[in-house]
Amino acid sequence: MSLLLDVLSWVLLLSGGLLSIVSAFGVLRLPELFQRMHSATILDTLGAGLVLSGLILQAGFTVISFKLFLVFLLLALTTTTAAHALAKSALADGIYPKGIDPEVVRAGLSEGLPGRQRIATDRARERVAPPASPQEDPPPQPSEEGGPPWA
Amino acid sequence: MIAEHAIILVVVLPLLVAPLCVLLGRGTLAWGAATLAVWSSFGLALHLLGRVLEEGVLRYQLGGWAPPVGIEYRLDLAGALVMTIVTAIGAVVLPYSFASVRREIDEHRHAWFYACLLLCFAGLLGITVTGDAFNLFVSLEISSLATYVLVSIGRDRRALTAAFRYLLLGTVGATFYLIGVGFLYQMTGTLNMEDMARILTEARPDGLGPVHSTKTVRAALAFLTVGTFLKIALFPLHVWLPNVYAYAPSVVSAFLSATATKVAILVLLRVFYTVDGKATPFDALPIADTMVPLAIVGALVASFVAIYQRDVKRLLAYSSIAQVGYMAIGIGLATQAGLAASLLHMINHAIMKGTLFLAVGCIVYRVGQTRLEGLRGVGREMPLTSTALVLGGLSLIGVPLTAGFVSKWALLQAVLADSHWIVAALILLSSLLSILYVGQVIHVLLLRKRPPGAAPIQEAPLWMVLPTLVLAIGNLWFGIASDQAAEVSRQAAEFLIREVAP
Amino acid sequence: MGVAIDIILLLFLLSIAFAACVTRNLFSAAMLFGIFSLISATLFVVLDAVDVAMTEAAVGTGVSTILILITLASTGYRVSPRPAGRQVLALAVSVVLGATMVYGTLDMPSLGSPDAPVHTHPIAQYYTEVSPVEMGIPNMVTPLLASYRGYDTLGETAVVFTAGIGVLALIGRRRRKDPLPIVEEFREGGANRHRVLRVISKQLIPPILLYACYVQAHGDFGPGGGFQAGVIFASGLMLFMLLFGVEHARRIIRPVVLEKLIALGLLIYGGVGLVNILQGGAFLDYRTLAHDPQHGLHYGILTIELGVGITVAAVITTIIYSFASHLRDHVMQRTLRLRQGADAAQTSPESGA
Repeated sequence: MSLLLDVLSWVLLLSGGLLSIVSAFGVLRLPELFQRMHSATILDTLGAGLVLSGLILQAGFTVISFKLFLVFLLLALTTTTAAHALAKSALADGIYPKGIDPEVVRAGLSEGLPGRQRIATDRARERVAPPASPQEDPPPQPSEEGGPPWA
Repeated sequence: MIAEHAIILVVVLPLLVAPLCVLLGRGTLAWGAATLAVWSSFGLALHLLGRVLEEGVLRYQLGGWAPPVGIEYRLDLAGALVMTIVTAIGAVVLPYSFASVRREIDEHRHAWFYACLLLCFAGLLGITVTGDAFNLFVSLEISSLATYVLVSIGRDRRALTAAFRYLLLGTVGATFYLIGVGFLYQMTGTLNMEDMARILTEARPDGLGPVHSTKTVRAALAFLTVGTFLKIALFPLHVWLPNVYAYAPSVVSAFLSATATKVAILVLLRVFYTVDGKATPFDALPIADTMVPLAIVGALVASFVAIYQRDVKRLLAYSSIAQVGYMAIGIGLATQAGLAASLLHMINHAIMKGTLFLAVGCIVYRVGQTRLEGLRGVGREMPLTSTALVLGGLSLIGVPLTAGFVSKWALLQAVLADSHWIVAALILLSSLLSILYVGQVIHVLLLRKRPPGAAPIQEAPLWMVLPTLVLAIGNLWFGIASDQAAEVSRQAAEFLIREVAP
Repeated sequence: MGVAIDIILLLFLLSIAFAACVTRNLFSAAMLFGIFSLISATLFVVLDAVDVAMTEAAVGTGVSTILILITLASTGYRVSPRPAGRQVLALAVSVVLGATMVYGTLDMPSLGSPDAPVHTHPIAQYYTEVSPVEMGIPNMVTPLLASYRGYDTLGETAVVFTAGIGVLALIGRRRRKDPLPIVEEFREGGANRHRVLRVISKQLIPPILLYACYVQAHGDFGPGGGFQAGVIFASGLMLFMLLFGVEHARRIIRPVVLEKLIALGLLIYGGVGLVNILQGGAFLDYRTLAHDPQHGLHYGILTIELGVGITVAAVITTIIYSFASHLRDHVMQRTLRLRQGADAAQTSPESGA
């Protein structure tokens, strides 16, 4: 039984470690932001999750296991949220995933964004498809207007 | 009970009244509390000075832990002397500050100002009294941090950049001190100064000669030297000083110029006499040879630059650099007479620079600026202030019967006793230069006429003039009845040197 | 193995420091500083200095990064190049400095060597062997910090206090008689478009604050104590402020209250010392607090740790509030000015026509 647990935990630890290395390569080598984020998030959730569960098996039914579980919970909550926020600000800053129609993304974003983010979206729109006629341009917003989120 | 704990109360009272000031919140109440705290510190300091003169070194175990396990407070005569200077200046400055601060600092900041003043005061006192190298750093941090705030708290926007520059250089100085202490700790395993001094003389367990000759200790001394030089503002590390003294509120300039550099000099003495003196005598170190040339060049350059200043406070700031040079010369001689002269000059410089900056503060109170051309004839309409200013100025030059003369004379004697003729000549030259810049101020204030149509000026309020005059009379008192101060500083120097004798 | 980890971490630190020096973009420099702190914290854990690591992680990575970013938000992210002469001078000074430090390490005992003076001096033995018996406290750092060198800790608390008062004195907001008109976009404040962030963080903030209380109370037995608890508590509040806006945060814990708490913490600490004197002991001699000296020590340490925690938490929160309020006022004023300018530009051609 203990041998089985040991083998299982080592399998988990090693595969977690392997996944981390793979995802590190991904962060280095993948061409654009969203793909890199995809790679990094794998490390954050699955890689760390595997390593932590391997450690939990090593620790057995103790308070350490509980603490490790808490660490896992915290990681799962924060890293995914951080990835979400990062992707969202990238979109708002006009960086779109390759091969996706910007109009689709923008339709969900550009309405009701404040200040700087709206301008960035507009700027991105221009970058993708220059405005047909000057009349359709929204009135230029002073770029200083948008406050940082904590203001 | 108070006598037994006086040595700790003198520091802790102002330290704990500082948060009380913040709780009180109102400027007037904070001022009252601060004044009480500083005056009681002054009383305790006088008591301690008397006891040190009678009983020798006083010790106190903080937390009841015997050193080196715990921190030790250890007050020798040099420390007691500097402590008396700091508390006396504080006791004079605080009554003065009431009106001056109201004029120069926004009202909602008053409570914070007094809190910072008390913290700075407590930090400086903590340095004078501690026998623990790391505790000294902590006190240094308290006083430095409070100083940066004090300098920039006024309305003058230029003070902000001055304070920022001071913050950068001061932090570098403090960090160097910390690195030095860290290296010393690596080699001795203790932070208590006396314990360190003992271990530095011992042989290393691996049979590699005495601890003090290791590269680590040498590097530590290098860091400590540069760090304290920065704090002392010894040429060429003085660049932060002129703007700080020039743009800080008057009270702060007076308090800092009279105390901060003196305490930094005490740190230098602690490092090179109390800690390292037993292992390597001061004159065997390269620092003794570099200090005198640096100090004399600094004194000359600063006096020369002072002549060309158009702002009274900046002029006085440059003169402070020159005066620090005199003190450094005395220390660099590494003789008992030189050290005694330096300590004496510390007392006297605190009194005369205090007088001058307080008098300038009175003028700022009425005129609102310190540019020389704006001060023409102002002295005629403020007779008491200008009396103080003239007395302080004469003392700064070193005219006989003033305090400045006594210590400069002692310094010259010490220099000549070592037959450094050139140094003596250069000191005299620098004194001649000081006649020029002091004369310029007095000329503008008293001999020039007020520009026609200028509004009449009143004498500054009594509570500002009185402290200024007290210090001004101090200049005369210590010039005429100079024996006591000279005797105390001679004993302090003797103790520092005897303490390190094998 | 341990050495390999040390070397890898140190290499990380070196390359990050280099990158931070080279980059022209202050935003990335700020981020690099944050990473630098995080790796330093890891290094401290490897060196068994977990107490320091906690503070470094919370302050270096969290609080100070946010403070730098807030400052940059009102100054801009680009640096202008400096004259080459100055850079050469700076380089020369750094090289001399580094060379002196390396020179100093030549005769230094190697890390962890049992023959090092730090370990052979009798006080090391006292701290490791006598202290646990004398104090009855398993975490060796706590008695050292809070009792043997408790006076230093009082001084450090005073330093933190000074920092808080200093920030208040320099950029603390005066209660305005005429408050700024609120620009509509800023009414709600914070990251109001990031609903996911807000929801998740709402779940996280209570555990963070609870954890801070745990660290505060548990300092005798594990890593932790007042400093760590204070910074963790403050970073929880900072998270709230980032997401819900400084105005909202200021309504929850009012700045006036914080100001009093800053002072209160230091007073608690010093008050313990004064009580010790009144009880007939030396300043900060906790043994006078109870009949059994060990109990007295425990009471004393718990009380002063509480004082430290209060002051640290209040100071860091005050600093963040002050910076954020400063920035908010700054941004609002600029927006208002721009609006007025735009209005004037719109009306003037019409009047001309």
